[in-house]
Amino acid sequence: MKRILRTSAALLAAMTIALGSSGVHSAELKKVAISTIVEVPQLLETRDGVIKGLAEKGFADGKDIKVDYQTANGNLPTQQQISKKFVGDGVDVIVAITTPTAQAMASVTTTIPIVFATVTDPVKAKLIPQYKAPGGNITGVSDAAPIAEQLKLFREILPKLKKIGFVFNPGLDSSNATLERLRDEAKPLGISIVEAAAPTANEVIPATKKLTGNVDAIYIPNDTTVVAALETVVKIGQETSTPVFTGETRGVDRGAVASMGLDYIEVGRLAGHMVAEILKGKKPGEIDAVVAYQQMPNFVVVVNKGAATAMGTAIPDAVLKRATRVVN
Amino acid sequence: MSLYEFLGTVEVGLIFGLVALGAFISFRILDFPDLTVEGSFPFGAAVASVLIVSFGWNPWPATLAAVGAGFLAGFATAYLNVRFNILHILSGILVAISLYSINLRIMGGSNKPLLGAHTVFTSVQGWGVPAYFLSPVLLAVIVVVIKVALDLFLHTGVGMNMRAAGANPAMAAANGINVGRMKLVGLGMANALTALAGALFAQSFGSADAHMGIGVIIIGLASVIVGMSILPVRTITQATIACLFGALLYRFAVAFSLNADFLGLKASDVQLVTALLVVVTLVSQSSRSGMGKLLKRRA
Repeated sequence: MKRILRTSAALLAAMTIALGSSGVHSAELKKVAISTIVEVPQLLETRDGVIKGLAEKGFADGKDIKVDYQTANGNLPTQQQISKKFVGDGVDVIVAITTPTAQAMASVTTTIPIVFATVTDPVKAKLIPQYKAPGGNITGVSDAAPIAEQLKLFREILPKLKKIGFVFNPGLDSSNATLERLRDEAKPLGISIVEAAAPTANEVIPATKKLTGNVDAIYIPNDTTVVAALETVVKIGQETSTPVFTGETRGVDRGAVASMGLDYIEVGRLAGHMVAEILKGKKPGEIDAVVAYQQMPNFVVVVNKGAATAMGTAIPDAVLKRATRVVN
Repeated sequence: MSLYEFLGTVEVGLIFGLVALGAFISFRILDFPDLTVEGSFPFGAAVASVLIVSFGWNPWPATLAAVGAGFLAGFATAYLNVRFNILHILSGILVAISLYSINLRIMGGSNKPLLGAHTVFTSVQGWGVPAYFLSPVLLAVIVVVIKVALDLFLHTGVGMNMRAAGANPAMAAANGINVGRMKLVGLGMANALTALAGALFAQSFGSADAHMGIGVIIIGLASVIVGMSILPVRTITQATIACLFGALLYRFAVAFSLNADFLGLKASDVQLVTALLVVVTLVSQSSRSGMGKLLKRRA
């Protein structure tokens, strides 16, 4: 009995502290709540971009608004608790980074505005019915890759490109979506896609090896599982003279030949601008949801000369000329 | 912490109470370290959400189907162990990893949204009571009914045999109890509860996700251990109460960490704070003077 009493006392104390803490925030500032499912570079860049975008529109954190950031540490039940916390705290706008985060937020509120970012296919995720004037309390930014443009770039570097190997984790919806779009965009160019599934980082090596000799190049999408083992793929590419391309530009610094497009700070900035509009009184349902790359007039093109040589190819001068950044 | 967050925490805690009851059956009753749950939790979620969204099923039979699916998953693990003598831990791992692929097949992708769908929670909405209040009430009813049913079952002849099979398999076998059959039924039950938790969680979360299972086993086990170290567990009834209490306490530890920013903690520290709270609970309860001893040694 003593034990129960003591435990209850400890519990009560913990709850009192927890309850008391909610009163710390100052009441006047508008509250913008941001959450991610895990802390990986592209999601943190998105978050930083949101804060940057808000500041550009006159909402500086700590001065004009109060930003509350929470990560679920990869744990969906925790994500659910975070969504309840945000609603309970009565925040003014929620920024949800990634699909499950946005779904968790959407399941708990139909009134608090939600701006999603880094969600590849928000319509399929049932967050919004359509991009144009989505209605309801949700809008945001998709991070779908500019695949058609990427393919054109790869063709420019490898004019004889006929077969692309695609290494991906079939457990990630964004990768499946990329594969589907890659197939559609490659068809008119006469390029075929050979899939190699790697459900975990350990399976990246056999999946890549299976492709070599059978394809002209390898494409690695924005796939957290495969990108984690990118150096391994690069090594195999060098050993077998198979050029490796990536869906995100950061991969080029790690040894891929080239990539173009998405900058996650930009994805976040666009979302931040939407949040600013909402804070100024616009309804989220009246703000069109957008695909990030369609809003960026100049694609970032990053190429790696050293990597190209190591993989038995060269980067044409025309590409070098328009490259935003050249890694040696 | 707001009332809304409090009720939300109770909601998640009750759902994981079912996982804790499952872990209690496999780990405590059967003494079988069952890792199947990492697969059966999202399995239940996948089955229920696909039946609801793609097949237009009523959420209640869809949830019941998830329970059946979970039973089959646990049965498969026990079958690998009993029939083919595959090590218990490995059997669970094998079933869990194959369920990952199966879940992707079932859902046709890694995420199946349930937003806007008719769920067990929307089916009880109305009567002028807000949803955030009704959901935990509904869950409490479900969890209490299952807890009482489990208590009653464990006092029946079969239940007694199951407890004996786990406590002392050799003695149980000598007394004519089919230990293998007890494992098949027991693990089936444990994973049926986990799959039910998965199905309910998906309906509350807004989607089923292939990565939902990550960490479920740890949460389940921590709940059982914490609950049992705090509350007295002389009877089965007390033990199952302890499991549910542990699951709720774990969720409150997470909620506390989410609100602990005033301590100068970062968002990414949540897991660490949660783990520390569990450790503190265990240490302070492990022996009557555990904390006292630590302090004395210092002096």
